Amino acid sequence: MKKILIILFLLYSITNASDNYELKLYEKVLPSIFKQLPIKIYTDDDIKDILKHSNKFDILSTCTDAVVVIIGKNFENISQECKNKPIFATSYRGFKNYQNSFGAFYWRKGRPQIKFKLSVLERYNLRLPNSLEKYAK
Amino acid sequence: MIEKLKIKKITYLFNIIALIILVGTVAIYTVFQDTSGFIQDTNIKANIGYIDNITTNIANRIKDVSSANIYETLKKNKKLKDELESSLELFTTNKYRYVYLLDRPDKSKDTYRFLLDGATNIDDKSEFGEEYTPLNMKEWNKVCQEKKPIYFKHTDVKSLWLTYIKPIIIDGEVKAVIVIDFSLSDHKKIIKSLNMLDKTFEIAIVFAVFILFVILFFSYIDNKRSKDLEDKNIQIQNFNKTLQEKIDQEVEKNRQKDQQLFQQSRLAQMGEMIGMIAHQWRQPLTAISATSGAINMKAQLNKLNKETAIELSDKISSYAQHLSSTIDDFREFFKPNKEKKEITYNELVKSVLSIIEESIKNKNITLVKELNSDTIFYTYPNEIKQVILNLIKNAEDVLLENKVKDPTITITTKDNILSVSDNGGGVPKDIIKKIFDPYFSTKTKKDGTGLGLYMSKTIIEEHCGGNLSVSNITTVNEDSKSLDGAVFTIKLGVNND
Repeated sequence: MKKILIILFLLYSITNASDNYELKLYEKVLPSIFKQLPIKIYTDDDIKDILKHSNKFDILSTCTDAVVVIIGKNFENISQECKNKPIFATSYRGFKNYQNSFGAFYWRKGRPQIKFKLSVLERYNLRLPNSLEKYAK
Repeated sequence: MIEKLKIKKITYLFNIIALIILVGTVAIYTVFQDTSGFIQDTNIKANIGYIDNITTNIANRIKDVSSANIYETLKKNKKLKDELESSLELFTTNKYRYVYLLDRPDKSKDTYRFLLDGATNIDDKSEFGEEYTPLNMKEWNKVCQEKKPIYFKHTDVKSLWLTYIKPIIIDGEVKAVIVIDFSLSDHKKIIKSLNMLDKTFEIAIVFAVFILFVILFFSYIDNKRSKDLEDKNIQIQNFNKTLQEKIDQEVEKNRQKDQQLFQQSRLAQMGEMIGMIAHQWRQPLTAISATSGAINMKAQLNKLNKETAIELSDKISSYAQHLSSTIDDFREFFKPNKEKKEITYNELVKSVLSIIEESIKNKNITLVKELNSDTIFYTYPNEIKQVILNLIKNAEDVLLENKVKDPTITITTKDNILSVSDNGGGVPKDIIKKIFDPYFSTKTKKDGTGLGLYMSKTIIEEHCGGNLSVSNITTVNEDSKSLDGAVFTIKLGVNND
């Protein structure tokens, strides 16, 4: 019984390892851009299941009070209200296709990719910290 | 000594064997490590050879159809791009997970750009011109600098994943790179076996080290024990050397002690002798006093004629002679005469009784003599007399102390045995074994020194070569009453020379 519990714990740890990695990244990136905590987020992506474990984020059910919108695979279906908010994408396509997307984090060929658009950030009077500037274009 | 050397040799042999096992295991482990690395490298190289062929074909194809600016060529000719991408998709399998083509538009940035992607999964398929930031930038840059294909292992991934990067060189410049991420998981069994062997060797080394330490530990203990043993042997040898000296010293001490005891005993006997002389003298002195009183009386009454005066003075002279002879007897008795003489028990007993019999009778003690020995002994008469006197005095003391009714001392001689017995109650069983010990006495401190019987036994057994023993007896008197008593028996050798 003890062994089974240990194996289950290890499996849980392994499956959650990448989630933890993503959560840490979001906890580092978003608060460095949006200074107020907790950051009010609206997202239709599965990422909300990861972000809800952090006390730095407040996941909302609508875009109205959201400070930032995180868009996933179904980014084409989001409302206009959401489209007007600063958008952070979880795919290259979302990052590329939305004018208001200021950054993205996604996996490509098994490697994590992080991107920022300085022009969009400036439009929303947001500043990228020095440590992340190398990912901006 | 030989046994010790043998054990030492065995210990050294064990140490050497343990050391050989350890060195051997480490050597085998090192060889295995090299072999393991060689097997893995060979395995990887075999795969690299295949990949190199594929990428060479792709590179040649691209070179054939593209200008120096591959990005522009593919951007303008979508059909060509799709065609090339389809050919990359053909190579994409579970083993060759990612096959893609990139260029580096800005050499100053660590950013590449997707040109072709053989991914079949739409979620992981990159767009044409999509920026891409590799993780192992140093390795990627090396390809551009050295213009040679490279491969490297992914250390952050548990399974054996490798990335192969081949440069496409046009006009001497690296225009793009073909990248293939592939897995060697199909060789998992080999890797697993090698890993298992690796672990086994590690355990073997740990075990060998443990064995070595255990053997070293026991060797240390053994050496320490041997050293302790050697030290103790030296101590024993030294002790043996001084033991004889100590024995001699102790013997001398004992001799001196015996002398002291003899002296003490003699002094005690002297005291007794004075008592006995006083007793022997009392009657003649009384008689002298009475006679001198009679002389005085007759002189005052003018009845002292010449005959009476002579008669009474003769009496006084006779009494004085008796006193003198008493002194002579005692002097003779206690004379420290160390000469052996031929003598019988009866003579010895008579000599003793001449000075003590009167004293015994005055104390209302019956003295029974059964003297039946004519055996002649060649021994020290005075010493034996002292022993007999001591035994009789002891019997007398017991009878008086216990206030025995009809006290009796019986002196018996027969052949070479002389016994002095009494009816004073016998010697209690719990002290009978200690009765001859020095300073052991049942008398009050004032009366007994505890040396009499010890000295008697020493005289009889060590000086005269005989035996002195004690036992309890039961006798029946005239009224058929049983009386307990002690009997001391002297047994001398017939030919004591």
